[in-house]
Amino acid sequence: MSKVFGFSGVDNFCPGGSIYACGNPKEASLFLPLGPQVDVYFPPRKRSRISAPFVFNGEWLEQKQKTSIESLPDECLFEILRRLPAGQDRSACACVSKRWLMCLSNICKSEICCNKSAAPQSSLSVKEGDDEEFGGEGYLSRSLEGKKATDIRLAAIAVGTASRGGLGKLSIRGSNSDRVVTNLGLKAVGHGCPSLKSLSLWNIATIDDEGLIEIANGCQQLEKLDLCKCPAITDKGLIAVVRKCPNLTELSLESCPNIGNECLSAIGKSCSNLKSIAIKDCSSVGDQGIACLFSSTNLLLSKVKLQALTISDLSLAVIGHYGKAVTDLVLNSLPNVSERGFWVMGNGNGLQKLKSLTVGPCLGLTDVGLEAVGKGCPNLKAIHLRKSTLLSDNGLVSFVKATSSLESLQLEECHRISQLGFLGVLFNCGAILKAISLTSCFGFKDLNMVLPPSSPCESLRSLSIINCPGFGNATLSVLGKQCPQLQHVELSGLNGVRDAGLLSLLESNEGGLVKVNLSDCVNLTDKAVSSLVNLHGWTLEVLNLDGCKNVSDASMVAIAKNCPLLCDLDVSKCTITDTGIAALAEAKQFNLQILSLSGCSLVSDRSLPSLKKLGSTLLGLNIQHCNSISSSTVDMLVEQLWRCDILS
Amino acid sequence: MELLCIRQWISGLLPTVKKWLSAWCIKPVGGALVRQEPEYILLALMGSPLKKIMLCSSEKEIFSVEEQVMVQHSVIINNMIEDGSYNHEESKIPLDCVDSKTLKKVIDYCTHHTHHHNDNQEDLEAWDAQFLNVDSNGLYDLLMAANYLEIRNLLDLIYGTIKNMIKGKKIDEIRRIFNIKDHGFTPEEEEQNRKEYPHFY
Repeated sequence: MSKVFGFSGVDNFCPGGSIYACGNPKEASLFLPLGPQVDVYFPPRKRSRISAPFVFNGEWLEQKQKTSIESLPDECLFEILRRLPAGQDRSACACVSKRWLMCLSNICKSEICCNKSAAPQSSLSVKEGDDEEFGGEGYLSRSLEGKKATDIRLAAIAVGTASRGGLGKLSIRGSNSDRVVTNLGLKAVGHGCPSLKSLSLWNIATIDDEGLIEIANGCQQLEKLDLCKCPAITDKGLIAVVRKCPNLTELSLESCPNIGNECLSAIGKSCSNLKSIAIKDCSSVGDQGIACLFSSTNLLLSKVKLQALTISDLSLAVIGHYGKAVTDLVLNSLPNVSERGFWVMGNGNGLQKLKSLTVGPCLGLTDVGLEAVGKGCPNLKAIHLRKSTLLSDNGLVSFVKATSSLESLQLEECHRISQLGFLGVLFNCGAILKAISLTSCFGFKDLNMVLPPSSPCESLRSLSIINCPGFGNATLSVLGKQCPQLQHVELSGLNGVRDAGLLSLLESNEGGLVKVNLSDCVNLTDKAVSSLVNLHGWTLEVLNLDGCKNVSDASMVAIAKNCPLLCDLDVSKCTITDTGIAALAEAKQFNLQILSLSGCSLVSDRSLPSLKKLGSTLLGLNIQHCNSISSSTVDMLVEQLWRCDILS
Repeated sequence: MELLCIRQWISGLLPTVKKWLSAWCIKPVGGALVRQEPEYILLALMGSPLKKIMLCSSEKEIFSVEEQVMVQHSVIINNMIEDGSYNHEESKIPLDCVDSKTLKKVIDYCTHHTHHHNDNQEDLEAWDAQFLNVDSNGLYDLLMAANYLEIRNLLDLIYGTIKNMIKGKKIDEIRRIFNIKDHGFTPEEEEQNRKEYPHFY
């Protein structure tokens, strides 16, 4: 091309573009007057003498322009964008291009400058969008998962929410895809969302301390932080958050191997508002950290959860001594804790306010340990023990004797507990125990026992026995006599329970049962159900007979006659036919809200009118796996029972 | 030169000098500088605004402009002159990234603002608006020049103008103005944006 321009025809070869591109600066006579007419002022052109291999048109002109408005350097773009007030315009610019979005997201609140209004007298009138407070009050919440979790989305969220109320809650679930969230994304959030209150980061290996420091600098109103599987984050990042966010109240760390004791001691020193902490599976956390955390004077933790850590008896000793404000304590899977730990914790006399204790698979929880805990926590109301394989009947009974305020006892998979222990609890619990629950305790054997007469436990309201195969009629009848004020009974998956046992329980009950769950007790028949509704129908609100194969239409008739308050009925997998449903529909004063017929293959389309009649009060209907109900019936039901949520 | 000639020369210049003096805020305080003695005026004018400096554009064109004008506006030039690297007799300041047309405009701006410093706000703004009535390439060139020379108020003016070009426009228009052909979003992201902000497109 330069050859063409080297052609020295001064007047008759005039390109349409800027003259300066032609590389003939010596020709000062071609110095043109300024103004928008630059491109237009030219002497009249003659045709070019050379057949040019190009065409005179706009495209050619653009090719020659090497620099123009789209190649603004970043700092100029930053200056322009930072003059835009928060509002519609910023959100629009965020959608223009990726570069603009990233630039916008880097502007933090202090860098936005509002332009002075041109006419001073209108300084009181506010233009639309100009007065929106940057960052807002934090009303919005956003959640990014999987493929959508990218820096660009984060930047867009940061810019977009700033003018629409502000981002209050953000949760990011990473994935193993190519496009991930990195520190840039967190930086955008830090700059753009000063009102962020809750942040949750799961499974993001590409974020490290830098990102967290940006958040700490920008989002100083952070209250909840939840980190799970972020291996690149170390103490440094978390310490920054702890120091700069004085409102931090909840902290949860899971599977972050690089966060350790240093961070916990920093928390102990700087966080005065932290109330709840949960640490799970962080291999670097040890006794030292826990000790610093609890022994600090300005930190009053009330909810503590420690799971799968390598801490030892020392930590429990510290908790027992210093945990003055702890109300909920959860200790799961602590392999290095032994009986001594629990004993020291109980004897530390510091856990005065402890209300709820949950202990997961810890080999350290033995009879001695549990008894010490019972003695040392005078306000303990609820205890939940899972997989305490070393706990025996004696230990349980002595624990119950030692506590003075226990209201709820839950045992799960404690296989050394048998009915002796269970009954021991009932005899010794005093008048405070309200709820007992046993799940999967295989140590139960149904034995006929002759028991000494003792006063019944008037306070027990809720009994729940789930999947304990040895539980049978004998124990049930004893239970019935011992606990006459039960309102909530759950006997689930108990093959050993038959009509006679249930009958004795029902007869002894004086208070009136409100919620009864007999799911999967396959040996119960209509007789049991009829007696149940005859005796207790006037208080019964919830009845669950899921999986009781031997229950049939006769029960439905009985239910319809006797249960005016019933609002939740589950007869899934029972032998119910259309007659039964018809009987239900005919009940007077029936106020059924939730009905579940899933798996009842004998219910067919002929039940449609009955279902419609029931549907006037129904809010939820489950007809999954009802093979005899055709899809047209289902559609009709859906159409007509518009208030009802139908699962089919 | 004999003192008498100097006196005559300076007296001839007095009216113009007074005008310049008022323009550069060297206001006569309590009548002190209004003394007509030429020697005083000469003293006051030492290091004088009559000094010119040479600016050389990328096309090797030389522009001569009053030193005081450029020093007032351009931080770069001010620094160059203050630290003495500029020799008034010989050197020219090379500005290789500014072409002649833009340089002339920049000089225009600085000169006008220096001389019309005392005009009221509305007139100055009207002049500025007229000054910036160029196409986007011209604007870009001015921006680059102002950025290089660090002329703060011209930069603010241009940024404000570009910001006004963006304000209130739809995204497609903005992309056209700034000639952004490749927005860099993936198709899903673009789709998402269109759904979330349909009124911007």
